[in-house]
Amino acid sequence: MLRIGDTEFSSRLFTGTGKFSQACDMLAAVSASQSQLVTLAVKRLDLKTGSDNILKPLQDSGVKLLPNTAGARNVKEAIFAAHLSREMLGTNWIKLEIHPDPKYLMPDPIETLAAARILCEQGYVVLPYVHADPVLCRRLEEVGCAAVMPLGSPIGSNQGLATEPFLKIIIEQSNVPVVIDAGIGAPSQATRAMELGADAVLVNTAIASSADPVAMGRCFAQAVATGRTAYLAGLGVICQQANNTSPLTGFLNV
Amino acid sequence: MISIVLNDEVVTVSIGTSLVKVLEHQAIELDAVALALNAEVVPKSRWPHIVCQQDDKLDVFSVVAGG
Repeated sequence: MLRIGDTEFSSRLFTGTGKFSQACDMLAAVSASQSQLVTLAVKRLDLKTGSDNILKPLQDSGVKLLPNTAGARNVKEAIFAAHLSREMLGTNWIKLEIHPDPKYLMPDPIETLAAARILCEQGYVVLPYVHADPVLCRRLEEVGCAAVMPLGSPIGSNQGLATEPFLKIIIEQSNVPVVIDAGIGAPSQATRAMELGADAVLVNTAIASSADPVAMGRCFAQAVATGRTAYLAGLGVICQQANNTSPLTGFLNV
Repeated sequence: MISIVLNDEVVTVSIGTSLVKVLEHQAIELDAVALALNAEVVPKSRWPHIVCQQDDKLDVFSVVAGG
């Protein structure tokens, strides 16, 4: 079982709720993925159109909600978003994300670390979205973050684990769960992340933008479970030379 | 009557109107939103006890789908 803060998860696949064409598709895909932790965003209510109406069905489904601070460009805005979501949802869990750059959505490490320190002091269970920076991840752990969420590649890019060498270092060094967030575009990439020893992955776009989100949610569930099992079983050592798997008795040399 | 700014729209309310009454007048579902008054988050328990003042800036937030 994966444990973050005081919560245990039997599924190591976390899912986002964005980009689905319809709320019912999102709910069905989350269910098929067996995800037990889903992300949400906070937004100023449009008084004319009302709310998205996704909250109640998600709450009814029993998944744990992880509000994010998307849209925050600095410490102040991130803390404001965290306070809003705590009031709204009654949760002290927060996915801390501060990315001022709209083109690549790269997380700002300086603002993120400063905000993480404050939110941890305020009693939040902080899961920060960061670049795959092993030094930053250690710093975030030191200020009390419950997990770290390094990116595989830019959000929504489906580029997979472009940061793999650095993810390996983070996984090796971390004393808190490592959740690979962002850029995972295919189930095979989720498997790879889990084979590396990641504690979980967070997937949104790859499921939401699929022609069949329910089937893709199911694929990711299998992929994550397979990768985890393979990690625990132990992967073979990569060698430069061949190592024979059959006995070389030389009996053909007649 | 006084005027306040609710999510960037000017709204006129009676003197003595509480925050919770403003939301009710707008038919906003109370259990699914958070409220900031002049950029400060107001706990839900305080909504019935805070009375709007002229030019108050009230922002109502809800959750939306996101990654």
